[in-house]
This record gives sequence, C-alpha cells and structure tokens, in this order.
Amino acid sequence: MRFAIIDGRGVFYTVQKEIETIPILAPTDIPRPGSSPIKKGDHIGDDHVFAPLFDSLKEMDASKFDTEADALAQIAAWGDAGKGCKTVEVK
Amino acid sequence: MFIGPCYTLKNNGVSISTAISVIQLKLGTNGPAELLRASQTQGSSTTSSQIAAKIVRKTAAATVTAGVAGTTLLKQNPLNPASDASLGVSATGITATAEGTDGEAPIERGHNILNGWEWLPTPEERELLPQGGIVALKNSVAPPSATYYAEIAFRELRGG
Repeated sequence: MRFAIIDGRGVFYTVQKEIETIPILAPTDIPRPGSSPIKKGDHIGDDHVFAPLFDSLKEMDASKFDTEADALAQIAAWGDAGKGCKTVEVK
Repeated sequence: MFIGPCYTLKNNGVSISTAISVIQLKLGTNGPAELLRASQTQGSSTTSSQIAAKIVRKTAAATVTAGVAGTTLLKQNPLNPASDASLGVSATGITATAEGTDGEAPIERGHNILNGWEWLPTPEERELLPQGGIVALKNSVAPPSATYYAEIAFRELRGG
C-alpha cells in the first residue's frame, strides 16, 4: 500500500519546484591555501527555495510515498504550503 | 510494459565520513527498472585517498532522509510523469543513518576520491531491479571526510 498527496482541489502533488535561487556572498575575505583568496562579496554558493507543485489529476504522475507516515511527514515539512493537503492510497 | 522514462536519484552533495549507504532507491509496484549508471565523486578534498564503493541490493531498507521529487529524484524530461519509486525514510532517499540488511553486491569498485567513480555498464550488464526492490550506492569502507556527490540513473519499465 502506497500513498500520494492531493491538495484541496484534489490535484496530485508531483514534484518540488525551485521558486527562488538566493546567492550566497562571502561575508569577508577568505584565504585559500594554494589558490587565490575569495574576496568579500564574491558569489560562493546558492540557497534554493522550493515549493510543492500540484499539477496533475492522474495518479500515474503523482509522487508516491512508501507509507502514509512518509507522506504526512512531507506535508508537515511544507508548513503553510501543506495546509489543506491530504493523503490518498495509490497503486 | 514499455520502455519507460529515465530518472536520476542524487544526493546534491553531503558531508560523509562513514561507510554508509549514500543513496537508496526503492522501486514502486508498477514495473521493474534497469540501472543505467551510478557515480560517486567529491568536491571538497584535495587529498589522495583510495576507497571502495558498491551497488548493493538491500533485503531490508536502510533508514534514510526521504527523497523528494524535484530535488533528489529528478526526471530526464520535465514533462515526463513522476517516477514510480517509493519515497520514504525506509525507501527512496539519501544518507543512511541505519543500514538495514545488505544483500548481494553485484558491482564493487576501488577508486581514488580525487577521481571519483563512474559505473557505466554495457547494455547487457545493466542490473535489473524488481518491483519493490531496493538498491543502494554504499561506501564499502569509511571514506575520508568530504562532500560526496552520488547519483544513480535508472530507467523504469512499467505499464501505467
């Protein structure tokens, strides 16, 4: 028995979609042994902001969870974005 | 059953220093899959060190951080249906905290972490994973601490 997640409209959760990429800038000069130093303000990485995407009415397209607890944990991890979501049993 | 779409399970870079299952794939019930490729590289250490890693079938799943479609489980084509793999803490996910039970390990290779490891089988050698089957990319020995990037690419052979 596996589970999927639907939103309040009954649409299946398919994937998490990146909605924002936030650059991480060096807060200070950072020396690097054997290489040129990173200067304050240099782009050193990115933070990624994701949101759940509900965009299919077909069970085949849904993300499937091993147990209902796994699906509920995913809903809980979304915080406000998970409000109104429910789990449904799928093949 | 048809030749279905391809997916990649990846960990996006995790600091690892123990002989854990780095990524774990548990298939769904709608069809088997063939493993197309697996790799492990690292992006933070410049120190030469020889380790070994393997593709291991699990008879009991490791406890992992649950995989997330769109973040750790990706489609080859964004328009494809979601993978049929089961997501969960005892299913598809990354970075094991408890190992479950290892079964046979058909692929195991030593490699230097400066080079990393890429397993690209010939078509005849692609390992098949049955419906509900579990496979992991696992370090055979404790590697030196580094940020490791692991991937398994697979094709689902499913009906619907």
